[in-house]
Parts: sequence; structure tokens; C-alpha cells
Amino acid sequence: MLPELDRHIASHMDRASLACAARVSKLWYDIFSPVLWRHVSLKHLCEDDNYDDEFNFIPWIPSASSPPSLPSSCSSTWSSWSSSSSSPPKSPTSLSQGSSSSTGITALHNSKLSLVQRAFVHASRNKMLKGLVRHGHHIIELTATGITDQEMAVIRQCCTNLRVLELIGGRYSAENLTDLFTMCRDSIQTVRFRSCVLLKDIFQPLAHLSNLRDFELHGSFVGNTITSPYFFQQDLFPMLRACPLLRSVLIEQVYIIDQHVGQTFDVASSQTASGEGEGGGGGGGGDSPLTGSELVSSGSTSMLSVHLKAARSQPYVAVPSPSSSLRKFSLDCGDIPASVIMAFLATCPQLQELVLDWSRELCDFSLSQLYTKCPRLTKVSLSRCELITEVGLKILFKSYPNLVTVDLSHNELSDSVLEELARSCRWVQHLSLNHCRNVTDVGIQQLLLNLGSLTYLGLRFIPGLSCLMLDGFLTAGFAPVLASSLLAYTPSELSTYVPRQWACRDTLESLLLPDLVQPSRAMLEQYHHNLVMSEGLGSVEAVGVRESDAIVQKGLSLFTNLRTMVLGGNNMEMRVALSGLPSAHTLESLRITKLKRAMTIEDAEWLIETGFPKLQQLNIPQFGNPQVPEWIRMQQPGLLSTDK
Amino acid sequence: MPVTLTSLDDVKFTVDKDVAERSILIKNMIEDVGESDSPIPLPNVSSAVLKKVIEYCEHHRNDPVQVQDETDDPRKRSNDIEEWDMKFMAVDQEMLFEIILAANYLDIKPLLDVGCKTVANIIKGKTPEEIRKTFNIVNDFTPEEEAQIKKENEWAEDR
Repeated sequence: MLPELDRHIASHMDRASLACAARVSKLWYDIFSPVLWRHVSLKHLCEDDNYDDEFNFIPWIPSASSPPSLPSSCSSTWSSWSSSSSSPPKSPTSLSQGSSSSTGITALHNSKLSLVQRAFVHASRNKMLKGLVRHGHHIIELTATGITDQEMAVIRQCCTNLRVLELIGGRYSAENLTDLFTMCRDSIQTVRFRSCVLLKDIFQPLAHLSNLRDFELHGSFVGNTITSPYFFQQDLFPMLRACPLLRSVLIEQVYIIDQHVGQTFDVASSQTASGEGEGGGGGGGGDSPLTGSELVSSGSTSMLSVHLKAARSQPYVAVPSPSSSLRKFSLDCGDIPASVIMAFLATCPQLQELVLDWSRELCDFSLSQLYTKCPRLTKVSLSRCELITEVGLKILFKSYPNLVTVDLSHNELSDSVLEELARSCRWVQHLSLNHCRNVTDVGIQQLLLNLGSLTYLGLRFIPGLSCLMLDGFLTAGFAPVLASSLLAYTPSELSTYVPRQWACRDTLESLLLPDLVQPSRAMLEQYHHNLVMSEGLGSVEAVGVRESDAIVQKGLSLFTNLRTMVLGGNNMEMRVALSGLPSAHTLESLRITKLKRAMTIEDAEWLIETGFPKLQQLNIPQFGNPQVPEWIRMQQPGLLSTDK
Repeated sequence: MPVTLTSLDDVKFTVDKDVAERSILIKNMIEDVGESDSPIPLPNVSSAVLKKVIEYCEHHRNDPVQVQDETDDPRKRSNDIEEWDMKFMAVDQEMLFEIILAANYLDIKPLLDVGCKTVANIIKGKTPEEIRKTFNIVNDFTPEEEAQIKKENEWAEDR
């Protein structure tokens, strides 16, 4: 019945359907079972879950007379893979047996397992593990949670075609990883460690994986090898050399366990060496020792100084490494010296995406050097970089006019940085300024006015933003705040510099703006100054509550394509601020953080029936009339979401 | 410029070029041969099926060309089918498979996807016995074998 399109169909089916389909007939079993076993999550079982003594996978022997000429492209692919890679050269199990050679393969896999391993599998209560014996060679993607060494050994023997390996929880040492990785050296392309309890020396084994493309180390506890100052030189560089196809490296939220002291540090980083102000010497090209070494003396890093002192006696000398083809690099830097990072980056001229968050060491000078190392960057994230000031950021923006994604969260900025961004990087699409300090309505408005490709703008937890950021008058003309920075411009720049329409009015899809407050006095004065200057009207009086909602409404109504919006303010009247928006028919997700008064049922009714009929997700303030959420759930189940 | 297509049973269909070029196979043929008036033979497709396929191509003639997604990941795909497509696919089983085959042969990816999704949706939520009934399949497992497989894949069924 099923022609050669079985894989197509199977790819549209969920697991439960696949499992059912595999039970229909022998032909269907051969078609769907491999697809079902492609992606597998193996969990270590501690509890006894309905153990079944009779269950051992071996008894059923498929008929040898399975359809002789199955035209299925996929089934034959499967079998050719499995037999080519899992059978010894002169094995009777070969392509000729067609797609259902499972008996032979089962036997083969059994024979590969040692007697002890076989006994282990036999005694195991984990059906999934037993399934590996039969189906391991189908598995392309394995998510393994908290597995033990013994289980790892079974995986090693059975999953011969593994491409994506994700290890969650558990402890892994160099030995068992080496065994696994040598076994699957050609097939594995992605390795992810997540929330692992303990990892020791994991980088050497990785060097076996000649086809590795993606590496992620996330939220794990790492033994102190990775924390040595030689991490880059001894681990990362060799890994890059050994894995020429590596395109993406991510290292974040890694915790260090110092085993000698038995204490855990949360430095949110993978590095201990600490040096300050060495940027000047280190940017050069990587053969400079760790020079300047004023220890960062915050509580969590004091322990790390031990490593550093040891390190100083053996100067850090970077071997000139061949340049890698890495495209994406992500690292929570912590106390890693800027010189080390820059030396590393010097080997990655192809880099397009760079994340260097949490750095206590990167400084303006590092940023000014960045362009000479990695000229192709389009995505940059530098959140929580303490030492970077507006000077460095401005240089960054000037040297990379083609930036597409910029994340500067949790930094001290200034309006002039945003102006520089607005002027230099016109193609920015994704901009996150959450938690930034020292940013005002004026700077934000420059972004809205100038960034014509912006699709995402994150402005959460920025104190002091007010409705005035949405009113173009704020920056009209020669406002006193702007005067100083405008003086530097030539007149021709100036004339293009003040268009009065949001440049991103048709592109912006996500606007996160949860904390609007009353405009500050300085903003108000400037605003009224501009009003008087340009139209000669108005007297200086506080912007009333209703008026501020009207400004928000007017500002928002300029965006035609919003899909996600987070909005809120202590003085906001929802039905005024949100009425009549052109994006009413595109908005899919709305989160309202705070309002002047609690929502009523009428408000809710207006919101979902009149205001935003296309809404798929809605968050409203939690403290308020309890009947409102109930009513919404009654009206449109699933619309209201409570997650943050 | 119209293009003429000839089906297996020698029925001629004349359609607009942009409609015909929804099929990558035909598109490539036209590019190879160049503009010509001679009909394009499609010896693998019957007239009944070809008529259906043309109906689909005409309805979707203005769709943007699909970007080939590299990920073959079933979890990321949605099984949503547009309303029109759903109605279009409300045909008997034989026709459904003929359409899928034709879409595959003519290389019309969106149609192939819709067809496969439709089949997947038919299978979805059914017990093995119901599936056998639907597709008229003989159960060639012994009861023991079937029980064995059920246990083997149990992890996937309860979610």
C-alpha cells in the first residue's frame, strides 16, 4: 500500500502514531520503527517502573520473506547504513537482505556487547536501554539523562550512527567519553552537555570527533581542568584543530568545582585566570604572557587567585594556531582575561556570531581591536560587561555598520551610545536593551526614528522611560539635551537625522515596554520647549494622565505590524492607550504588566473581542479582579497564559 | 504563455506557464527544451489525477516558493493544513495516494507535504486495528510478536 513516500509520511507523525503504526504489520514495522527510534530520550531509571520479566526483545524473529523489493528509499537507506557501519566486512548481513535484516543486526549488536554488558542489559529494567540492542543503529539523535557508565557503554556499542548527542545530568569523565567518541567519531556532529553534575577533562575526548559541528556546554559543574588558565590553549585550540568543521561553540552558565577545596564558585564562567588592564598587551596576537594581574577581589573569585598565582610562574604562551572556520562562539566570560579572549578570536576570522556575556575583563580597548580579528560579525551580544563604556560601544558600532543583532542588556549605556547605534548600524533587526541604565526617552526615540529594519526591541526593566519616547516632538529641532552631541554633525547629516516618522514602523514586530512611568521633569521641559518652538503653542504644565495615554496610543498607532507587545504603566488606562491600533489584526501576543486600575470584565471583553481579535496569548496583571481571568478562560480557553 | 501537458491516457491539458511551473519537473523540462509548442508528456500521471494536480497548482499559483527547510525534524513541523487544501484532499484513498505519487513525480513539494500530512492525520489517533481496517492491511504478526512490539515501543505511546 505505501509507496516510496513512507518517510515523508512518517515525518509528519508524532511518536504515539509511529508506535501504533509500527504495530500494524511487519512491513509497517520495518518502515516506522526506525523513524520512531531516530530520536530517543534515554533516562536512567531509579524507580522500578512496571518491570516486565518476559520482555527481552530477542524472541521475535521477523520473517525472512519480507517484501522482496520494497521500493522505499528510506528503508533501504536505513538498512544500508546499519549494515555498512555495524557489520564486519564479510558479514552475511548485508544489503542483500533488504530492509528487514533486524535479526542479523540484533545478533551483531549482541555479539558486540561483552558478556557482562549483555548481562547488564538483561538485568536492566530500562526498556529503552534494552531497545538500544535492537534499534540502536537507527538512533540519530539521543538525549540521555543521568546515565551511568554501564549504560554509557551500551550506548557506545549500540548507537553506531549517532549524530546528535545530548547529555543531561550525570557525571562523565574523559575515559567513558573517549570510548564513546572514538566509536562514533565519524557520525557525531553535535554534542551538548546540559546541567551535568560533573565533567572532567571533556575536551580531549572531543578531539576524536572529526565531524563535530556544534558544541554546547551549558549549566554544568565542571572539574577544575576547564578552569585552568590554559583552557584556551590546551583544550579549545586543539579541539578547533581536531574538528575542522566546528561551526558553533557555546559555553555558558558553567560552574566550577574546585576539587581541592571542595567549594563551589558561581563565577558563571569557565575560566579562572584573572588579570586586569592587560588589554593593551594582549590584543596583539596571542603570544603575550598574562601580564597585569590585579586580582579581582570580589568574594566569589578570591579562591581563584590560587590558580592564577600558579599560572603566573608558567607564562602563558599561545601557539600560533591555524585559523578555524568557527562561525558562532558563545562564552560567559567571567574573569577570563581579555587578552586570552582576543587571542582566541584572532584565530576565528570567519566568526559571524559572538556572545561574550558576563565579562569582568573586556574593556573598550578590546572592542576597538575586535574588528581586526573578526571582521564578519553580524550578531553581537555583550550583556553584563562591566568595564565597557560608551566609548568602546561607539567604536564597535562604527566599525560594524552591518550588525543585525545587538544585545547590550544589563549595561551602563547613554543616549549618545544609542544615537551612535542609530546612526551607524542602520540594519539592526534585533535589539535588546533590557536592564540598561542611563537610557532616556530621547535615546530610544532615536532608535525608533532611524533603525529601518528593526523587528525586535526589548526595553524591559529600563527605569524612567515614559510616554514621551513615543512622541516625535521630543527630539524635534535643537533640543537642549541633544545640542552637545549634535554640534559634531555636519549640517547635511543633520537634515537626514530628523525624519519625523518611525523608521521601523512597518518592520517592528516585537516591542517590550513594560514599565512606563510619568515623564521626568527634564524630559517634560524639553518636550514643551520643542512644542513651543515648533508650533508656538502650549504652556508648561504637567502632561495629564489622559494625555499620556493618548500619546502612547498615537505612538503605537504608527506601527503597522506588531505581533508581540509587552506594555504597562502605573498610570495607563488600557482602553485609551490600546484603542484603534493598526496592528490590532496582527498582534498575536500581548502582555500587560500594570495598569492604573484593575481590569474589569468589560475591559477584558473589549480586549479580546474588539481590541485584538487575533490574539493567541495574553498575560494580564496577576493581582486584580479574580473574575477577569476566569471569564477569559471561559471565553477563550488557552488564551490566557500565566508563565513569565 | 500556455503550456500543454499530456497525461498517461493521452488527454491534453492546457495551463498557464506559471501554473505548470509549480512542478519543478516541468519547470526544468521547459528550461531544458526551451519555449516550444509541443505538449509535455507525463506518462506517469492519469488524466483524473492530473486534473486534480492542476486544480491545486492553479489555486496556489501565487504562493511564494517554499524555502527548503533543512531540518527533517518532525517535532518542529506542524500538521496544520489550510482549509482549502483540506477540502481538496477530501478524496478517496486511492486518489489520495495517486496524488501523492504524482506530486512526488512532478516534484511539487507543497502538494507532497499536504498529501503526506493528510495520510499522517488519518493514521493519527487510531489503534493498530483501526489502521489495518482503514488501509485494508492484513495483520501478519503472531499475537506474541505483536505483544512484544507493543512492549518494545511502549515508551512512545504513553506521553
